Amino acid sequence: MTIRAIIVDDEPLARQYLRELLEGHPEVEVLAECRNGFEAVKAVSELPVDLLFLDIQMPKLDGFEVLELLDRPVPTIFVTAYDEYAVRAFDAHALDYLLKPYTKERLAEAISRFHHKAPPPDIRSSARPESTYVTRIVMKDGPDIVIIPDHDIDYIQAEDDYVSIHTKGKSFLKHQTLASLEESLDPAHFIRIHRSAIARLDRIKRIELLTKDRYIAILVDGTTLPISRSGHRRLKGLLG
Amino acid sequence: MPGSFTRRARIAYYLAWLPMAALVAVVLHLRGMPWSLALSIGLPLCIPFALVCGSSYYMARAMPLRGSHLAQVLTSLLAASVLTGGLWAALALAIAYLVPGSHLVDQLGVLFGMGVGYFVLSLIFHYLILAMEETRRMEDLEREARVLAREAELRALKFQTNPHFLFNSLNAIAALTSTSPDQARRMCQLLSSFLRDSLRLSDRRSITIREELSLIRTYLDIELVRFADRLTIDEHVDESCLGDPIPPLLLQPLVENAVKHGISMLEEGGAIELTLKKDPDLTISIENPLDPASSSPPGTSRGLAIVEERLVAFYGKHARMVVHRRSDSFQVILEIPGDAA
Repeated sequence: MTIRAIIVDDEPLARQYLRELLEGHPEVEVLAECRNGFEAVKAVSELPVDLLFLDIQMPKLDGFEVLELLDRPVPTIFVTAYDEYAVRAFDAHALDYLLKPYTKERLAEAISRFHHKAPPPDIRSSARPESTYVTRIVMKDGPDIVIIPDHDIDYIQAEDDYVSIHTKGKSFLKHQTLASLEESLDPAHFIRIHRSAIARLDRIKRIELLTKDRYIAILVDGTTLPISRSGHRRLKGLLG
Repeated sequence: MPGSFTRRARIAYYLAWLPMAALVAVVLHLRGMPWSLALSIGLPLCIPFALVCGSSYYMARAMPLRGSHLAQVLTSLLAASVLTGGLWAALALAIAYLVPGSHLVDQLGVLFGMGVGYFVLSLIFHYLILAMEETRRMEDLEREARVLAREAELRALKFQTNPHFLFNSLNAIAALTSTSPDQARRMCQLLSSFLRDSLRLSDRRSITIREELSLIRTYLDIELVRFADRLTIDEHVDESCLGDPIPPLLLQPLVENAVKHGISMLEEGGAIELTLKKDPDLTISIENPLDPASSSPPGTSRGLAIVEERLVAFYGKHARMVVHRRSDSFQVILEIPGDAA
């Protein structure tokens, strides 16, 4: 059977190297080469892609953001010089994680995982912990890809299965739970003030007592958000 | 007064003698001497005595007020005080013979008492000065130790060439070996000379700007192979600053950041602008374009803090680092006063 693959890497030499090693795997057909995350997302929506060779550090979108934006899950082999993303890669259900420069034997092993649907090798113990928070949120807005840097986010509200992200007077819907988004945001800048809302700390102008132990937050742009009892405790803990 | 004695303490010591001498004159006057005599004899009498009391510095130094011999020390000090008071009285007696009608003989008892008291005061003064000197010395030592430790730490940090740069370069070499062996060979040579130079230079406390620039050019030559037409370099360098000293690998990490967080995140790439101006203050600027949608990557601020600390440690506190982060560009400016460079 043929494996239809695309190669996503911004460095021409890196793409060339992979393509050359793939010549030893006639069952792998390279449908396209993408130079950045946008092209990759587009290629996956337009082409019958079975397998993704994905770099992590790229212009526009990084590898993880690409996976987040795909219409459908595609088996992915990460190909990167960075070993510190391994844990995140397997959390994203990567098939394998190749460290540049890799050998053709190592590539063959990764491809065989596709054939056998073998579980990825457990390299978690040797991988460096990856504890950085996301610094931007990516989502699809119709055909467009929207990237919101974390410092542009004013607040985020839960709406059923979606979160609505408010930035510069606009809001964008993303299919994600507030709780999972909260985990990925830096708690030094974001705070869950209510079951249904996360606010960026520097956007909170003041906190008002509405009635006995019912508080609201008033943001710099005038928005008012409810504060729950536990939210108020967290706020007090943060603001002293 | 010994040389190690700080000048300020010496001045304070003699200034303190002015009211003491005045007090001698007042006491003499109160005990029946006319003012003219009290001043003309009392004041000059204090001058040799001030010098004699100054010797209490040596006593204070020779006999520290700690340890098991405290009683013995106090006894010697008391004896020295009585002796000095007696000497002063003897001096007054000599003057009394030289200046008939001064009636100084009647004042010997009082002068002896004051002499003992003044010597004791002088001892106390010098013990305090010594204690302060000791404290300051300890603080100096501590500060020096801290500076040395920090310097060692910074030296350890400066060779922080990012391993990803190495891995990506090796990957490029792997790609080039089959298609263009000549370029692969050249890349190996560039990478070796970059590694060798950065190891060699980072062992030194100070290198020339020429050496740092040469290292940066080797680094950029390697990145040019990886990024090809995505990377261009605009260099504006005042030839006159090439011989100036710079801490090793101060600029290279900044250029590396410009590639990593600037150029490599831009699809079309861009130009890194490297400017060194001397007029006569040295201004070094490294600027790169930035993807407006990127947010500041974690870790850069720490890297920049290290650069700033090394800058100040090397050139003194008048050197500054200024960072301009605009939505589509990032610029680091190092300002080094002409007399520091």
